[in-house]
Amino acid sequence: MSANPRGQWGSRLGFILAASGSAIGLGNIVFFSANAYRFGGGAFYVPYFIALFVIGIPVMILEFGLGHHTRRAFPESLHKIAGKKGEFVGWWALMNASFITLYYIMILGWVIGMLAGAFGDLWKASIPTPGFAMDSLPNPHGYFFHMLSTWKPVIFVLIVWVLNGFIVRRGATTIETAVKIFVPLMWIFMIALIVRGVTLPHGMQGVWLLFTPNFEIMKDPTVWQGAFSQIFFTLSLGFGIMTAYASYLPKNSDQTNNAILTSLMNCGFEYIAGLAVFSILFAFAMVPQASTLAMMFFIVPKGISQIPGGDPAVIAFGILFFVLLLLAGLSSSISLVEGLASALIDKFRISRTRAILIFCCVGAVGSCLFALPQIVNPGLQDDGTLGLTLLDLVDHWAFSHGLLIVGLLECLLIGWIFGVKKIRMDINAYSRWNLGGWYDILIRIVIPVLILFVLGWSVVHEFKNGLYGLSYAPNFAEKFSWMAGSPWVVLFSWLSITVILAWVFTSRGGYDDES
Amino acid sequence: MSPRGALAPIAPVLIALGLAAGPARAGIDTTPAFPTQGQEATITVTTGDGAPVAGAAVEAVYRPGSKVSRSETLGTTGPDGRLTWTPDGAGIVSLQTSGEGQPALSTNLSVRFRGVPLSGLIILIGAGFILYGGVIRGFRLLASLPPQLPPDT
Repeated sequence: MSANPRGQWGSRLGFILAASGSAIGLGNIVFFSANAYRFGGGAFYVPYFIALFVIGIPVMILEFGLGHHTRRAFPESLHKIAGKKGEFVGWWALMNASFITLYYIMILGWVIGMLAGAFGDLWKASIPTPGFAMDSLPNPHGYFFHMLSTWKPVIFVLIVWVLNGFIVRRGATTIETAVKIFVPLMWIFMIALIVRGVTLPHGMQGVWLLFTPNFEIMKDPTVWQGAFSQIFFTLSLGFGIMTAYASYLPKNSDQTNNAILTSLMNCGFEYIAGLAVFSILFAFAMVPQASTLAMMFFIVPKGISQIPGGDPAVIAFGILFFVLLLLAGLSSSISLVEGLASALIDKFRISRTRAILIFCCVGAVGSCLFALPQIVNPGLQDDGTLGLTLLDLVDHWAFSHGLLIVGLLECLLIGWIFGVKKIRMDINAYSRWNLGGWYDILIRIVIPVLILFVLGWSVVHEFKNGLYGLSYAPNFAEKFSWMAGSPWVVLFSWLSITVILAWVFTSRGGYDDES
Repeated sequence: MSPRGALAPIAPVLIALGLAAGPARAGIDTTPAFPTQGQEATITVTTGDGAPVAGAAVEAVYRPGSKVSRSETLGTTGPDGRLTWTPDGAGIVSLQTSGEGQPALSTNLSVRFRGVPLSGLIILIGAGFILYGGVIRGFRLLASLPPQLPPDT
């Protein structure tokens, strides 16, 4: 039994599996491949690796180092180094992450639905889709939108929340047990998909398609913007998760090696996922889409449906693919739940059971918003149902902007207010690889400038092309025309709810060591 | 983690779906089915009932939907509905037909690389070496420490 009342990882491997399991999520399996295709194949690896070593690993070290230095969850960690304003940033980060958790778990609910379909209906040529402009849509699109236009996903989402609550019920202990099963299985299933992919006729050519570069593309700044965003998102930075996970490690842990190992395992998984996805895409001449949902629910299943060997082979690989998605998603979602639960326990001194029950119950209700089955866009020019439309809009702000804002603020708080040197010295005291003064420059100047570049680029894009989602309005059905302003409503709701809740959590109660 | 991805609506997939679902799906064929970069291939354009389409303008879009996408006008089909084409790039290519009074058809095909591309091989090995070399080194360091963590007081 651990002598630490907050709990502790049982083994070093358990921690690495948990941290890499958190980082390896749905996007690793398909989104990297879509980005690599979009940005010139092998040429994308150049900005990708630069981003990994300039932003990814340093910020990962920073988040691990923060948890290691303070031994607390994200808000209290930032409170300890920057006072109330730091704590506010910490709670805002967790509120933003909670928005992401709500729809991430909805997506996992859809994965369960697609997994059920993989036993048969998903592979039929088409499926009736009443309410949409086409009475029946070809699969897998038909199966997906038919499912979304019913209340079934509510059941699936409840199942996922129960699974999350069950896995995190004893914190590091039960999470470690789960990831010791999930993470090795994910690697085994992915290797099985690679073997099937590259042994398809001309499948190996897909590997050359992935890696053969077109260096012309590197002159385009959007490629660099894409690479920096990809690295930040793929490593689960800005969620506060890595700080919470590192806080369960004993003081004499090598955080530099932990951060490098976690980051490289995450990117190594993307690397092999690219082999599997590209071999299937090439063999069936399918064009990747720059959307995680489109890739995992339409493009890859469409490829699997054409795998030779008849129904048994298609069903077997379909099940394998969706179980892989479910495991990858669960190992990430439990870290999101744990990130908030640990912060609530630290701040309000409530029991773990109570913290998890509160979050799971509120979260389950929130996730159901993204399951609303009303068909707002029968022609499917955009997102189809009300729930999917909301998800798209919330994702745009919470994921694509919120995480970068958190990353920027944590670098500024630690770099300029607390002093990154103190964290660096603390990390170096237990690491085989010492970080030099260059690390301070990265955290204080280089990374904030790069994040500002990515955010600024996005804001300019928003100004030039109009607020994200406003182009949807003309496609809404007549009875949903009142939703024309929904992009503004979602932006305002996301900002106001996260800021108000962060302020409430910051101002209520206090920490034991507070003067 | 990347749950969804920035600026990534599903819509383009569904627009493509409309094309794939139509009766024109089998209207463009190539021989061989997987042409090779730099080697001649024959494109055949037919109507839904298999009759050749003469005079259809055919365009190839290399790596559609990517930042390196480019188009090439291939010419028009002859009386037998055929056109020869030598693809100058490998990867996924979209063939599209157009022309007044002609059916608008579209299909995707994969053009094979001529041999193993050296630059691709170098990046495959280099990226793998950096990622998995680093992982192996990290695990070796981890293995040099006691596996179980001491109780932290």
